[in-house]
Amino acid sequence: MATIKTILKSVLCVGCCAFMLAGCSSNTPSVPTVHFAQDEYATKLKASGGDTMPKVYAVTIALMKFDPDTITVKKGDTVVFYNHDMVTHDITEEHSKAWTSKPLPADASWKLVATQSSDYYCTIHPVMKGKIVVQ
Amino acid sequence: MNMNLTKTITAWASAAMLCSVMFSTSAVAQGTSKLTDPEIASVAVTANQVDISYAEVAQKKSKNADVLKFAQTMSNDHKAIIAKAAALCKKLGVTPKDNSVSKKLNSDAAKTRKMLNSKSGEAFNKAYIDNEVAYHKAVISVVEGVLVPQAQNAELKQLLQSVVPALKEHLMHAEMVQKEFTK
Ligand SMILES: [Cu+2]
Repeated sequence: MATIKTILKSVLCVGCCAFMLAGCSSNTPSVPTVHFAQDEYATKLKASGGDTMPKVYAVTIALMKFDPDTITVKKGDTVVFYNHDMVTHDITEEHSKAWTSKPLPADASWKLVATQSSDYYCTIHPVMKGKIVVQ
Repeated sequence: MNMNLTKTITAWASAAMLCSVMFSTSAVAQGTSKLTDPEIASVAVTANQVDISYAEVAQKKSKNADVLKFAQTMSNDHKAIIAKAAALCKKLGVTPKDNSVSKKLNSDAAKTRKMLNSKSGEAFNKAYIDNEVAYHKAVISVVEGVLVPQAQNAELKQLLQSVVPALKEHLMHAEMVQKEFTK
């Protein structure tokens, strides 16, 4: 359990960094001066060729739908889910529950660093489905 | 009893149940002059409360994981909708007003709870989920056919419209669970 939490934390941290960096329009981003996740992030950048900046994508949850319901990203990109509905939803990997946001209340958001293509759904409302395609 | 006959009877029973729910709500709607916004608010809140009350019965009586999960979603979602409606009423200074439609919803619900409480085990699960399918169909038709068109205030109208996708998702979810009990 502790391991899962640690992994989750570092995933979120990388997510934050990706978010901050993606917001920077300069070609030479200032080196982030934050904590350990930076190294992990740098390693990931190198591993992916070093020259592509991870991007941040938004998926909105509104009126009981994921919008867009299919999103195509590159490995290491971040997908942020915003719950704009009045009810609680979750975002859970469909086939083995490999990852989950846990219940995401109205007006909350949750981010995921995409590492592989996934089908996902809402366990609370199993009719709601979406897809992340990692190219 | 042969399978086809059982299926036919089951189909008839659910059709009859749906008809009675739809008939009573539309009959009431027709028999009433236009509903005012405070009356519409009352109908909306009551319709949500009724489904929460069914969920409470299921949470007491069912041991089926899918039924319990569905009931939990109904309870949480319909409470969230009521909270949103209550907040809007407060903002608009509207006090929900009891009326013939909300009274009819409550009296029908009391009968349905009595019927549900008389069953147990698999028969309960099936009766609960069949009623959820019928009830959501009926509520969708009342919201779309009566409450939305009759609402005067734009924000109230918009809130009612935004509830419809949740009701439709609940209906599809109920139909998914229903398949377990209709073999
Ligand atoms: Cu959901």
